[in-house]
Amino acid sequence: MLRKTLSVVILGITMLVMLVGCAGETEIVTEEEQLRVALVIGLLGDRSFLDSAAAGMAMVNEEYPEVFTRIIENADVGEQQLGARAMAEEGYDLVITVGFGSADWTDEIAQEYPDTNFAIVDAVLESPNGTGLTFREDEGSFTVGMVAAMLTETGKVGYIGGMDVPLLRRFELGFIQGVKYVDPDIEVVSGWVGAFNDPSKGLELAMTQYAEGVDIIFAAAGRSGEGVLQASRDVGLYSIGVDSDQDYIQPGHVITSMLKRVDLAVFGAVSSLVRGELTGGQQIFGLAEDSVGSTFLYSDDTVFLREGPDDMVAAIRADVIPAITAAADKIASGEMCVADYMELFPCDNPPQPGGMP
Amino acid sequence: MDTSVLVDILQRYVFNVANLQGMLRLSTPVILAGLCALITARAGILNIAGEGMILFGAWFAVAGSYYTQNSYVGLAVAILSGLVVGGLFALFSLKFGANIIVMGIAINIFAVSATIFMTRIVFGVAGSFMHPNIQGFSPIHIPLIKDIPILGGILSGYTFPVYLTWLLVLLTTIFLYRTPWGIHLRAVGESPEAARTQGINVERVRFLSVMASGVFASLAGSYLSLGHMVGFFDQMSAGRGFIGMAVNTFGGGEPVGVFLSSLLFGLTDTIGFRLQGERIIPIYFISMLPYFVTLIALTYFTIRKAQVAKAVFKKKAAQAEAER
Repeated sequence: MLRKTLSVVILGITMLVMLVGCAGETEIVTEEEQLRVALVIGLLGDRSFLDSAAAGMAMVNEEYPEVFTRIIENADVGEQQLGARAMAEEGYDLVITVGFGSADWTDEIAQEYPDTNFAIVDAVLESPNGTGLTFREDEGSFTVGMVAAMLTETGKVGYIGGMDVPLLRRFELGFIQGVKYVDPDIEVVSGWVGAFNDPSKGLELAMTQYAEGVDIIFAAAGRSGEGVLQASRDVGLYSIGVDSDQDYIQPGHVITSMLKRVDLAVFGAVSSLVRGELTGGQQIFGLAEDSVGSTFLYSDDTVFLREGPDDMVAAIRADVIPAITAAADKIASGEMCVADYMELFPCDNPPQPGGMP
Repeated sequence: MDTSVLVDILQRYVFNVANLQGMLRLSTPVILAGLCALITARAGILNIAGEGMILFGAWFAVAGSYYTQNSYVGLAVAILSGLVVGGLFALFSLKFGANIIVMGIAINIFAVSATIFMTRIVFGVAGSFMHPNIQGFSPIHIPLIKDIPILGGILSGYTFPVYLTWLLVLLTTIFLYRTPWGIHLRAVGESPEAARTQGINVERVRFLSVMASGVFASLAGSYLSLGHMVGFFDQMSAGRGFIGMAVNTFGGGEPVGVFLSSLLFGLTDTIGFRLQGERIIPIYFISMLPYFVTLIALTYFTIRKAQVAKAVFKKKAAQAEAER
């Protein structure tokens, strides 16, 4: 009796599965014309770099509702690799991966699936069907370096990076150049948390810098950076956010954020795909492309301008914004260039220390 | 190098108020994680689930504080979660006989995903959750003590969980050595068979010790999410559960030892932060410092212990020789 019931149940389930399977297949056939894009990424919610990439996909949904998008989140890079491969196998038109560390395996998969387009944020791919979306973080950091230098009262500003890797050294060097461009006598103290997911440690590192007389810290440290922003509120001093607009996180204490418009890059890659113009190679997003830089360059109604102390806000409106806009224009036009730590971008006329007019 | 230079260096990098405050703040979650490891280790259980329990504690503390806008309720909710998670852990591993290491790993992995999932479902945000409704602990400035010149700065101005932690170190010592339950716990850890013949309910003692470890871990979590940072960030435990195990070993399984070795951890961290500004030592070397110091100290203590044991043995042998 029991056996009979069981076999009926199993038969029923099998038939159901087959039915569902058929439905799936027919769906795929009807959707063959539709463009499909997948973003393979680490866990969202950093309110910074990764969330910005996801925001790019949201822009795609808004602008091109006919494009099917999918975000695959995974904390583990190995699993991201599997995800990217699965998407290529399924015949997605564009697979976007994220991060310098993902370059090798993305390239490998791109070579195995020559009919699929690949794009990667923060790296370059060798495969002809791969597009590298790279940023001039040095240029963006330069502008926030100027902001910090023009607002510091102690003559000491800080930089806190997540880990001592070349990409974050590029942020640091750009920041230092921005500071020195304003006033070569201002000291820059650098620190590294050693982790991207330890806000408590970021907080303590920031406390140490504040205790040493730093009054503005630029944090480029993922979630650990949230600790730096909180430290600025705890001690009543100031910080600068990174990647996404983080000005709102500690209102009145985060002066500005160094935007890195990963969303624009992701959106741009998809729109080239839609137009049939995605050709591979390297796309560079810098000040000339309006893709990096202080939030002040892109908005005159930031959180800090509304909630910051009056004297600082007045100084920002009167001096800082015109100065960084002028410098950004110079860099965008090629009249001046920021020296790159990774030396990927040649620079013949770097900013002179104290060279700000 | 004459001594004044040395004193100057020590003052700059080690013994200044800001550094010592940083040391005490950073060591608080490590002390609690150490006590979490200690209370189970002394009952003869290798509990590696501290990391996951800390994460749950951090999440529930934030949830409790968010809904009631009271940090102490958040702490209470966290403690409750620690009891539940610890209880479940004990139920599965001790009662149902699941391998305790495998269970511990499972809890650690589960905690990472579960807290991220709950953050999305309950709060509707991914990854990090901060909100004005979440009340963190505000610093407590102890009257009188805060006015003592240097000492006031070092002892006053921390959040409630820091002081609670110091108290717990004391209470755990008293518990272990001055109460019958503490003696039962140690007996179970040192020789379960002997304890059983003495009429001690070994299973119950172990069960309770795992639940207690859940409470310690959840306190560590609530310190991270309400007493230090204010908000939940995924994986914010950042390995402290494991450092707690190391600290317990390092501290010789004694609460005071756990306290002191955690301070050493915190101190090397803050010294590392100071050194970073100087650009004289590579960053990776500095990041290695806490672990390096532990390694050196552990090696030293192990050798010392062996030497002492040898000396005792020799002495006894000589005595026996003389008696013969």
